[in-house]
Amino acid sequence: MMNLIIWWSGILLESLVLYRGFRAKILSKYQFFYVYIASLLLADSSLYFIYTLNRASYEKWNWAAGFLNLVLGCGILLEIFKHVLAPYAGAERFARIAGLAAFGAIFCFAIFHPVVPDVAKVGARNAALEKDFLTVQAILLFGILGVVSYYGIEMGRNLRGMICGYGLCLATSLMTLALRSYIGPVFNTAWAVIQPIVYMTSLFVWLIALWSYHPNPVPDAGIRLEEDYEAFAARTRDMVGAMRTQLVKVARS
Amino acid sequence: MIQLIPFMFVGVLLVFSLFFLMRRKPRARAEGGTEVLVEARQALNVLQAGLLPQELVGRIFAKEDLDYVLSEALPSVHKLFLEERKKTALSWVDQVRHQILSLRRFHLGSARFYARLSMRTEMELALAFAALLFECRLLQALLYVKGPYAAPGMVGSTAAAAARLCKISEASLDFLNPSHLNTLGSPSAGQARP
Repeated sequence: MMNLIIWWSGILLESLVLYRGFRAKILSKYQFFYVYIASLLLADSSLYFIYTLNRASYEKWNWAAGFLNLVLGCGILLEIFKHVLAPYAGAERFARIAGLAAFGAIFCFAIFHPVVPDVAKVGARNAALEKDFLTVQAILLFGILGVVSYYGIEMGRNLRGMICGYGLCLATSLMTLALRSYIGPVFNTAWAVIQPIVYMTSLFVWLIALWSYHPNPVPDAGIRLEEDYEAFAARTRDMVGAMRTQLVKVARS
Repeated sequence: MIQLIPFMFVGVLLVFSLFFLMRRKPRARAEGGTEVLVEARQALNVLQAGLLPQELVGRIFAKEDLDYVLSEALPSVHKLFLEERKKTALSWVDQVRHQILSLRRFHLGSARFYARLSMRTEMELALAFAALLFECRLLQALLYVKGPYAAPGMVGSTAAAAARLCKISEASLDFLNPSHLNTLGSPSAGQARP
């Protein structure tokens, strides 16, 4: 019964997030995010009917829907690139290169991963695939947050909430999935409690953060295409060098 | 167990970064505005004219002062002198560090707009700034633990670090001269709005 209540609450919250997006006229502003939410709502509603009608086929559909939502969750990363990093060409480039490097490294790892014997079974292989995909997303999100933090880029309330909710969900799913595959069926009880709580928390965060439109702060400077970055960087190097020299003098004095 | 650690590590890392993201306070002033440039100029001026002149530095760390107090004053005065000098030295390093942070903020605030930003250069600069800030911290720790006359002990390591930085640095080291400073705020210098 508890499971069903959580399920209904999830559907209700997802509907509310979509409804608020529609009322606040922000559906078109964060398309990728709302496609993700719509997909979650559709999946949860459909799975509820499948669960009540034919429990045998539920597991199969559940994994497929889960994986589809995992892929669509990448939309949130695209929203970050579109809204947070786009006005900062340099930071965006930095994040893109770092992201591609991380993705490439994990992709190469994933190619060789299926040869590991304990992922031979379908269930275990699916879990491993899900875990790998979550890891890629978590590393990408971590890298993007690192760039955002390093370059002191400001974020609006909408994007902050979007990232916080998704990041929380991502980190918890990754850790619980890893623990589940390590500990085994004993962990299932804890899994059944942690996952819905975190998911509900994320939905609450999204509902509150996206209640109304809060645009990202617009920087007071445009993208610098023509100016010479190398000259600018060289000057900073000089500055650092000069200060270092002064400190050496101090140390010698 | 080894299979579990990387996933847990990534998860925990993400949770921490989210925590820091939520704790970040929004800035009061406009991003990329002229205030950043003014702040950087001020930081540079403070460093050049107020904190780094050899006379001031020489005065703060002058061993002659200690020798004089040791030869002429009572032990209680020695103690007081060392305490006060330590406070002054620590405050000096703290201010230098603060200005370096200000200059780093200026660099990052400008670099993020460059479409042709070089990842390698940015990494090098990040390391250079980090090393400089680390040196300041180290100097602070040394002064705190060993007193205001502990700085000469750092000569070897700091000189080696400076040599490393000289390799990274391509141009002259006289950027802090007033004649060069004038170029900082000019539009051709690449810091003004296009």
